[in-house]
Amino acid sequence: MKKCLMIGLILLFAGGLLFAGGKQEKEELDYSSMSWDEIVSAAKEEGEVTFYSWWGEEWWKTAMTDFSKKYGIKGKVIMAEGTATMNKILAEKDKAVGTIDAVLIGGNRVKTGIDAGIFYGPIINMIPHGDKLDPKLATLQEGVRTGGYLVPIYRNQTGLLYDPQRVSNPPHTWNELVAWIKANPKQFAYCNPDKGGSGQAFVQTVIGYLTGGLDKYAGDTELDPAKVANWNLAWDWLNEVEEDTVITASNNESIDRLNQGEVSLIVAWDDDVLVNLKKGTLFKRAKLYIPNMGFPGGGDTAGVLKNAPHKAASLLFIAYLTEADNQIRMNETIGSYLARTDIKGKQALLPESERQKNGVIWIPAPYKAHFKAEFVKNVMMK
Amino acid sequence: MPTKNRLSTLLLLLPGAGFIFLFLAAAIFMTVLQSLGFFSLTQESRFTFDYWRNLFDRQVIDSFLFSLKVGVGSSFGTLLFSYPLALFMRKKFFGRKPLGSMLKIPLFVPALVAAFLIINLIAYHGMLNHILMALGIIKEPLRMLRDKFGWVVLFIQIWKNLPFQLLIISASLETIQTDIEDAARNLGANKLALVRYIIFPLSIPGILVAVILVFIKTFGDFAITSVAGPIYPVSISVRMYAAANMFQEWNRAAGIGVVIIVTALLFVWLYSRLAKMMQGQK
Amino acid sequence: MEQKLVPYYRIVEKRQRTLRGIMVVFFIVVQIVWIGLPMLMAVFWSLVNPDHPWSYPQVFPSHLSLAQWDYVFKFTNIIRALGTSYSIAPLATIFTFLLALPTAYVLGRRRFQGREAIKILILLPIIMPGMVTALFLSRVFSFIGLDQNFFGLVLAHSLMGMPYMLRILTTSFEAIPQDIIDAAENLGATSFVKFKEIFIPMVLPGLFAGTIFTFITSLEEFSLTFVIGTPTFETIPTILFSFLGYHFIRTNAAVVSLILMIPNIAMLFVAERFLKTEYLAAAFGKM
Repeated sequence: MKKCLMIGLILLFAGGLLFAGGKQEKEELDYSSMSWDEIVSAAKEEGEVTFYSWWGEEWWKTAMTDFSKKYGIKGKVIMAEGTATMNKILAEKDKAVGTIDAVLIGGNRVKTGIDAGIFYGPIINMIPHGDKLDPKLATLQEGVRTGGYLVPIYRNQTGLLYDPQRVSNPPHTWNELVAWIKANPKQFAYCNPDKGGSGQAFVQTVIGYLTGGLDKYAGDTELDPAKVANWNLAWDWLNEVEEDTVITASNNESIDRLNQGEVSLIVAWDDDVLVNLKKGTLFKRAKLYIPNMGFPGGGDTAGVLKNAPHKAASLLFIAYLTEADNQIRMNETIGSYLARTDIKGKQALLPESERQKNGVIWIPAPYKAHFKAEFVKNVMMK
Repeated sequence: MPTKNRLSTLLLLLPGAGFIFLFLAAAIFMTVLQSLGFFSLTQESRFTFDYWRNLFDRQVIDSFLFSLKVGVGSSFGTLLFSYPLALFMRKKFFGRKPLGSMLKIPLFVPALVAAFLIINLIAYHGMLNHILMALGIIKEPLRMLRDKFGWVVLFIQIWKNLPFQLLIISASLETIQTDIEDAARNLGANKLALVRYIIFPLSIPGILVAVILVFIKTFGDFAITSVAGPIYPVSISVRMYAAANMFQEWNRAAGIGVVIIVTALLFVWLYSRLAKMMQGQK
Repeated sequence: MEQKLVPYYRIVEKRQRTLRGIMVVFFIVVQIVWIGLPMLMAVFWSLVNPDHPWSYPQVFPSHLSLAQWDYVFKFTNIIRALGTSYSIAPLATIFTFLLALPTAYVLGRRRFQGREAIKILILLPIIMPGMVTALFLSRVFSFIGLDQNFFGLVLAHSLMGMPYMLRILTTSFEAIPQDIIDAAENLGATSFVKFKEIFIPMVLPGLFAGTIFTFITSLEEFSLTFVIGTPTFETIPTILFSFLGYHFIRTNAAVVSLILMIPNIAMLFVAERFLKTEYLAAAFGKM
């Protein structure tokens, strides 16, 4: 009996060692030195991939289903709030093998993620067509240098959305906007910059116009206190018009309030507008434009985690998302603009010329973080 | 009680009460220690009062006062409806059963769903505004969503908590013996006097429980205030959650957590004092 | 023919009865508006036709369709969440019942020192605000590896349901008259027979109520699941929260709301005959 037990234990131990050894070997695969074909076959071997996103479920699920059919790789798309996903990633950071493979990344999570070094890479040159993706977004996202770790998936743009039945002459310049807000009290809405990019777009525009332009912040990686010293001018103005404006709690809530007829002019993302139009939660007559004064736009990227259990399959899925056909389908499904610059999408609420002419880039991340916090203190608490 | 019996009592108590005690004691322990600088995620763990010293800034105070207002407002606001209804529902009458079932529905409607239902009702072009305009009470729709005071939150809380209070108060009214009432009536007390001098004083213990339970639930509320509450201030639970999960300031969040727990316990203590006083009067 | 004289007190009684009748009708109408209208709005929002938006200034949507339901089942995580919700709830209920039974028996049938204190202690999960418990229990859970874990969620849901189950079962045990037990003992009943023939049948209605309340508490639990479970595990309430919060879309929220609410209300009406909600009152009437 004892002998049996001993043999059993030894076998178990040996098995464990073998298993651990085998696992280690698998981890040491270096995808950067592999050819794309080798990565594809490695991906098929892995046979599984998990992708996290916080919006646009219609597209990611469709894409994943088709991806699974094409390669025979089981795919899972999980829709979750960006912050919750980032917290999970950070909690799993030190594990050898995590549970998340690839994530869509945007907003302040870009800085958090890059700073914490959670991404595998650089990967942008591993995937085919990596060089055809928007070079601006491929180097700088939300003012953060992404160093090839993050792959652009789509671009999007903020603008002003209005109800043409009630607004005949939408404002185009800063002075026109100021005058419009004063002339139409409680008809202009923007979202709390802490809760959505469309609100950040508006606050950034206000800061740009009232404190001497946005050029001086370009390229900064740390906050320069001297440059924000006169931001009180922006806060004073926002306070002055606070009674005449409506502040909402999310990008979509602004659109909802327009649909309800509560307001007639709002700041919105182009892709959010398209999704709401498609769902029947925004009237079809709504019109979107980028005012001549300029409104920021950017885009979101995807990255593979350092401890992803299925790295090759993640790379393959990200590559799949950047294929020409799929970029066009994505654009038709959720309205986000293509990250590829060599092809054109059909579905666009905003013409390319308007994007080029009036779209501006985001202020660097430390300044954005600063104005989000200062907005609470100087506008909402007043 | 023999020792053997005492031991078995203890053993039998363990699974239920021990389970609760184990996890909640662990959670409370963690909250207190973290607020004092231990288990820090971002910094070195050490004993410090720094987090407490810096805890009460304007945002935390505003949130605390807002939650207090919501707690007191919802518990007494609900009482305003539940008590008269409970009085009305005492008697047996035709249609009492279907009415009773209907009244109970919100008890089975999850809080988040309740919030959504009310949001639709009070939207700018929601049904409420349409009705009020059709009746000529208002000329322009009211902007009720995320109002600065938090009326919508109160509305949702009252809608959701009404049946719960109604049940508890009804049960406490049922225990009032009819002979006391009959005696009072024979002595010539009219209805109002009956309610004022006999029924109301006797139902105070039930009212206390109903009010305190709703207060605790609404004071610590996270979901409803974040869905329908004002942009600023947010509820104290939302503030705590943001400190922990958005800004990774766990020690600060723990400080806020301790404040929430202490406030809730303070109200429970106040309740028990009042309940004892009432018993003394009897 | 001689007309019968109606005594005065009869008239008063009749007048009172009419008044009460009017009040009942009034209350029922108010209830229909108070409960029915909000639900009707949710139903409408869940049926909005994507090609014909429901927007200002329409009072009601002009066209209806099932497209929103189709969308939610096709593209959101609702099916996975339904699976999670409806596997946690029964497991948590069974677990709660197993833990609660012995404790409730002792609390209900034996007199001992500290009994009142324990009866208040078991209310702690209700007294402690949900988010505080959630946030700091998640820290405890992550130390013992139960964070983002299915079993951890079952434990957490049991914790939230425990006060209901314990309190209601305790009240049921208290309500059993001692003479029945004495009589059984005189007839020579063993502990097992006593339990099987007296205790179980007599606490059955309470058990039923406790089970329903624990089940429903688990189905609608939000804070703990949100902190401990997401993003790995999503339940129906956490999905609803996303559609009401950062991802605010009325039509999706309407569908998910109905998915969450309809089984609950069905449960209320099916169980109404057996379920005395009064148990809840009896259990919480005194703290």
